[in-house]
This record gives sequence, C-alpha cells and structure tokens, in this order.
Amino acid sequence: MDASVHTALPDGVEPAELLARNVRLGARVWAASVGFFFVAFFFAFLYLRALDTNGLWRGWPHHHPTPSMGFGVAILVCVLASAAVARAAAMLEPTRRRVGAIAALLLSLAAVALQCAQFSSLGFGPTDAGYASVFVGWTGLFALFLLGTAYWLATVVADVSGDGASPAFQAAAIEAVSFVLIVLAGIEIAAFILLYLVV
Amino acid sequence: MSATAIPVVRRPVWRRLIGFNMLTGLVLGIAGWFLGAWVGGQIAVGHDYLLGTDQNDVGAFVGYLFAVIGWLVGLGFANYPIGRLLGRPPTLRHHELGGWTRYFRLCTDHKVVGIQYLFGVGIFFFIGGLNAMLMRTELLRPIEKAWPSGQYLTLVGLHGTMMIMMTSAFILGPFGNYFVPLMIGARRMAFPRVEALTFWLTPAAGLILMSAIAFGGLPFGWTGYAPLAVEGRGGVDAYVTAFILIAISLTLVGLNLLVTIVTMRAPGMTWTRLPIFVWGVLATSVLMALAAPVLVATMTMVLMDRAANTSYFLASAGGSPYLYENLFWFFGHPEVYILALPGFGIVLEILPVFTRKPLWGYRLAVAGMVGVMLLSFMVWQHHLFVSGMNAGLRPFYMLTTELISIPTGFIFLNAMGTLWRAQIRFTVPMLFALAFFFNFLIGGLSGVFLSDVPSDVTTHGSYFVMAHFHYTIMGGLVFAFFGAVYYWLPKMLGVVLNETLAKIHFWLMFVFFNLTFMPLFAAGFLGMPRRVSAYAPHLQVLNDFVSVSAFVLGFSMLVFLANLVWSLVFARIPAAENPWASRGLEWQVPTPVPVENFERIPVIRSGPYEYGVPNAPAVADFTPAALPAAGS
Ligand code: HEM
Ligand SMILES: [Cu+2]
Repeated sequence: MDASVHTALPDGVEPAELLARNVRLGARVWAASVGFFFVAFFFAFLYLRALDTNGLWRGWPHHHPTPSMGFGVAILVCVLASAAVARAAAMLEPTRRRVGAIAALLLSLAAVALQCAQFSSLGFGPTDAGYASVFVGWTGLFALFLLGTAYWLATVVADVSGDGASPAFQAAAIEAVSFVLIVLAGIEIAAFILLYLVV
Repeated sequence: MSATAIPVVRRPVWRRLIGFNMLTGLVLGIAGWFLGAWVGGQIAVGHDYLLGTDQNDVGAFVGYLFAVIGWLVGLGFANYPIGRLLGRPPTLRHHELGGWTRYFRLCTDHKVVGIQYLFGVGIFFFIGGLNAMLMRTELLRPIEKAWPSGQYLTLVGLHGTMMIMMTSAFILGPFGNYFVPLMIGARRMAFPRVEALTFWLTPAAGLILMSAIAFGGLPFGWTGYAPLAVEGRGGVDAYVTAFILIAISLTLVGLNLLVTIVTMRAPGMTWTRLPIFVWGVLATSVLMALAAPVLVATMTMVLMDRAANTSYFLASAGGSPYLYENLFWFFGHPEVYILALPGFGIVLEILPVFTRKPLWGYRLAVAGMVGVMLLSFMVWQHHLFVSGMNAGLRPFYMLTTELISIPTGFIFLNAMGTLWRAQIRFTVPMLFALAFFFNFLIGGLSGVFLSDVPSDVTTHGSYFVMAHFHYTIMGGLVFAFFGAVYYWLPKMLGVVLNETLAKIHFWLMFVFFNLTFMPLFAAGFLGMPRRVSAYAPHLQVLNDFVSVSAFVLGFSMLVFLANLVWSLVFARIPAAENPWASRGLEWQVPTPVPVENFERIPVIRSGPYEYGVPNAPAVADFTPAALPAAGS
C-alpha cells in the first residue's frame, strides 16, 4: 500500500480519503478483534462439550436446557439480513444509501430485541450447567456487540441525513460498518450451528 | 480542523476545575460507584442463588461499571459520540488546548497522550514496585513474620497484576503514541479520540485493581486461576474488572497503532525505510489487537461465573478449570511477547545511533519480529505441561516453544552485527540497550529450560520461573524502557537529564537487578516454591541476600526519580534539538514539538540508519515544494 494519499498539504487540512482509509482499515482490524473475542466462546463450547465434566454438559439430570428454535432462526435471519442490507447500501448510489442504512439499523435492533425476548422466556438460566453457560454468555455478548454496531450504523444514518460529513467519508463509513456486520453475521452462523443444531 | 492557531484561553484556576476534566471524572466515578453498587444490589435481591454467599458480586460489578462510566463521562468522552448521533460531522480533534491543564483532561494530541502515559503508567509501576519491597521484607525470615500468608498472597497478586497491566503498555503507551507519528512523518494518530480513551482507561484499571485490598484481597497471583477466581472474595471482582479494562485498552492501542502505521506514513516512507522501532510496534499491535480480546472474553466468563452463577470454570457444575488455563494462556503467551517485542524495537533503534553504523540485517530483524509474532500464538500450552494435559501434545508445544528462540536469536544477530567493529559511544541509553542483551540472554536461555518438558517438570511453580520471567520482563522490557526514557526524554520534555545521576541509576540497577534475580534461579533449583511467605530455613541466607539486593534495586529507582524531578523542576537545562546526532525523523523537528509536528508533511528521501554511508541523502525533505508524485 503506498502512502501517497497523505501528501504535503500546508496546514491542518487533510484529504478526506485519509479519513476514509482509516475508518476502512480500522473496521477490519476491529472485526478481527471481535472475531478473536468470540473464538474464546467457540473454544469454550467445544472444550466443555468434549470434556462433559461430571456428565453435566447438557444440564442437570432431568433438565436439559433447550432454547426455542423459533427465536434462534428469527435472530439469525435478522442478523444476516442486516449485514446484507448494509452491504448493499454501501454499494448503492449515495442518494439511496439512507434507506439501506436505516433498514440495516432496524434489523440489527430487531435482532437485539428478539434476543432479549428469548431471554425472558428461555425456560432455563445461567445456572443450568455447561451448555447453558455457553449459550447465555455467547448470545448475550453477541447482542451487546450488535448493539454497539447499531450505534455505529446510527451515526452513519445521521451522516447521510445531514451534510456534515464528506461524501468520501460517508461511503467509507457505511462500507466499514457493513464489513463488521458481515463478520458478526459469520459469528452468528457459527453460534446458530453450535448452539442450536449441534448443542 | 486547522490547528495552526490554538486559542489559549486564560481563565482563573477555580474556573478551570469545572468542566470535563480528571477532577470531574473522579467525582462522577465515585458517585457512579455508589449508585451502581446500589443498583446492583437491587438487581441481585430475590435471586436465590446469591443467598448462600456473604457477598454480592452483582453489586460489585455494576458498581465498577458505573464508576468507569462516570469517570469517562466526567472526562468528556461521551460528548462526541452523542454529538455524532445527533448528526454532528466527524472531526479529528478539538481538544488541543495549551497549558499544563491539558495533561489532566481528554486531549487528542498524541504527544500529550504519550506524556500522560509516561507519568500515569510510571506511577502505577512505582506502586507495583513498592509491593515488591513489602514482599521481600516478609521473605527476610523463613517463617511468617510481617504478614500472614493470605495478605502476602494479596501482595503477590497485586504486584504481579499491576506490573503486567502497566508494563503491557510501558513502551507503546508513552513512546508508541508520542513517537510513531513523528517517526513516520504523520501529524497525528489514525484515531486520536480512541488514543485518549486508551490512556484514560488505564488509571481507572489501576485504581480499581487497588480497591481489591478493601474487599478481601486476592487469593492468587497475577494469573487468577479458576476455581479460586470463582470462589475468591470480593477482591477478585476488582481483579476481573481491572483486567477487562486494561485488555480493552490494549486492544484499542493495537488497533490504533496498526492503522496509523499502515495508512499515515509520509510519502517515501516505504516499508523498508520504516524505523525498526515502528516495526516492533507494528508486530506488537497485531498481538494486542488479537490476543487482548481473548482476555476480555476470559475475564467476562469469570465475571459471569461470579455474578450470574454460570459454570464455565466450575467442574461441579459442568465447567472446567482447565478451560480457564487454556484461555488465559492463549492470551497470556502472546502477552509475554507484547512485553518483549517493543523492547527489541527500542534497543535496535538505539544501537545504530551510538555505534554510528547502519543497523546490521534490517530485514532479518523484521523477519525475527514477525516470526515471533506468528509463533507466539502456537505455544500457550507450555504453561500447562504439568497441569495434566494430554501427554501426546507435550512434544508439539515443546517444539514450537523452542522454535521461537530462532527468530528471537535474529535480534541478537542484528545487535552483534551492528556492534561489530563499531566505535561505541557509551551513553546512558546505550548502556541500557547493552544491558538489555545481557539480561535477555539469560532470560531467554532459562526459557529454553522451561520449554523442555523434563526440566520444566522439576522447575515449574518454583522460583526458577520467577527468575526467568523477571529476567525477560524486568531485565528486558524495563531496561529497554529506561533506555528509551534516557534516549527520548530530551525531546519529550525538552530538558537534559543529569548524566551522573543517570549513570549511577544505570549501574545500581544493572548490578542489583542481577544480584536480586540470579540467586533466585538457585532458589528454584533448591525447591523454593512461588507465592508462599514461608520457606525452608536453610534458604534464609540466599533469601536475605536477595532481599537486600532488591532493596538496593528499589533504591536505584529513587535515584531515577530524583534525577527526573531535579532535571525537570530545578535544573531545567534546555535540551538540544538533536543531542545524539540521530538520523531519526523524530529528531529533525523542533523541541518542543509543535502541535502539528511538521509544517508540511515531509517527503522521505532515505532510510533512518545510513550512518557513515558515503553520500547518504538527508532523511527527508521538510519543505517539499509541490505535491510529490505517488510513492516518491
Ligand atoms: C524491584 C524489582 C522487583 C522485585 C524485587 C520483584 C519481586 C517479586 C516477588 C518477590 C514476587 C513473588 C514471587 C512469589 O512469591 O511467587 C514477584 C512476582 C512477580 N513479579 Fe516481580 N519483582 C520486581 C519487578 C517486577 C517487574 C518490573 C515486573 C513486570 C514487568 C514483575 C512482574 C512480576 C510478576 C508477573 C510476578 C508473578 C506474580 C504471580 O505469581 O502471579 N516484577 N516479583
Ligand atoms: Cu508462554
């Protein structure tokens, strides 16, 4: 990568492209960090499941936590749709970005709301041994990350609605947030497979 | 965004205390703690699984959470994010006030953040050192004398955790933030606000960790193994919260520096012209951005085990303490290279300046650092050799660990090649750099013993390990840190440090560091275990020798402190702009460094180490006439 964007400008003025490149690359590094965060849960799932300490992976005797598949699918769909819509919005004309960004934002928030709803009618809790621990931790923290990304999307919406941010920055910001959403979607797919299908 | 004219508003002192600053942060932080503890208490009421315990971890964690929020809000970190939500345009920086008060508030000037880090981390480093003195006092006698074993263990835990937390950003915090933009020809870091955040999380973590004393202390050393981590008293909540905050900070430090180095290099600053220190920072940043999040996750699991009664680490409820060991060291081993790599960068940066020779084997050095970075993710199980791991896995981890000594060896080759037939100037930074190699050699060689399964079986958990990691961390990182301090402080603070005191500091520190930790290898071989306050009586002579040496080592730090205060407050001899006649870009700017660093973004003309190379062009063109062509 050449550094020529960062050219010899006299005072504090910087090319908008530099801001744009920073936010794009920053999003990629952040996505990697988020990925490694969830690697810990991925590992915990496989490790505890394989060890099955005291035969308690699947919960206490006669009580096997089973999250509702309906919620699981609904959350998965919302997350995937949010990522897809954000990506599409990043590729759209600037004038039509706004709708896409708002839709992606609403879908992310819907996923978080669904997660909360699922928690309130879970039928088991964090105290129900191995699997339940991983389930609650992974899904709960995922919702938290999604909420943070939704905040980011909200700033993108604010930007495309106003006229403060430069077009180059707007384009980069929505591309960046959509990249993070795609990585989150990947994590959500892994979570769905492990927590709902493999168990 | 122009910052050429910084309005310096003169206001009475009392008026300056009001507003978003550290004082407000403290007030809101303390208020937040009380509020959070109460809210957490309300949440926990009625959950029967909390009834059996005599403490309320929910209250503790919510208290810490609100305290941190209050601290950050009081410092002004909430203003920009809220403004962005309301549609305010993204800006780079608007917190670049003049005057001394900027050091006590959110400031987005990377040079201010660097100095904040230097002093902030330095203070906690001294507190950690004080704990070491207290421990060595107890160890003057083989029987428990000064502190009962529980309190001794708390001291060990606080010392170890504080040191690891603070020294993780010992070099990237002060010198990475301050000098990387200067060394690559940039005016700022990629994310100046994130940069400020990474610093201000650090004192919060330090203070919260220290609050463990008030809540029953720590039942473990810095590694916080489960199940003690789950069963321990309220002090563990402080440990967990502090580690989460530091790990978030480290992740963001890595992210910020990584992006800065990739996107913000001046024209002509090609990858092969990048100063070797910046390469060290880059490799460290990758480790930080990837390993620290695993620590956040691990500590969050402990948090959930404690506050929500999940069972990640409790075998009695389907969890496993080995899960903790694996996750902790999956972070922990990259962490030891987070501590080592910046040191490599510093010493290789210093050597060419004082040998007046090009750095020998620049590409080899880069390869060494990148090699260490990659391998460090593949060795973590060497910390579990005697934890009942699958015996079939041992040879693999033994091999990968021993492989790491190869890229590490590159760094020694670079040093030897650079020193070869050089006319060495034995300045204080150079002395520290040379001592680094002496100490790190011993640290590294003892590491090979530990990676060897048969010998690790007898030395694990003993003072041999203690001596090993102090040789690498203190003998390596801390010596490199002081090398950097003496090398760069003239630029950062604009004053000359007293050389006589500096030499006294160096020789005391070097001699007594070795006298303190060398005998501990022997203590380990003689069977002295870590983290206990009582030991076999026949080891007393050895231990007394070590304690006395440790006190002198501690005293050497006071010499440094005295020098700093003397030079900074009383003598105030202004430093020359380039006292070492270095080719480094950071030395070509005026002292004190202007807010904008460079009047114009320079165009880099040659590498930083071309000392004695005939006809080597000047490092950079600082007044490029027109916009240069791409990649020139
Ligand atoms: C004056 C210098 C120092 C002295 C005298 C000293 C002494 C000690 C002692 C007595 C222990 C406890 C050993 C045990 O009972 O297991 C210890 C542990 C430790 N020290 Fe130091 N130390 C010094 C500097 C440092 C520095 C600079 C660092 C890090 C940068 C550091 C990191 C640690 C760590 C990580 C532990 C392990 C704590 C644990 O067991 O979890 N120390 N040190
Ligand atoms: Cu290791």
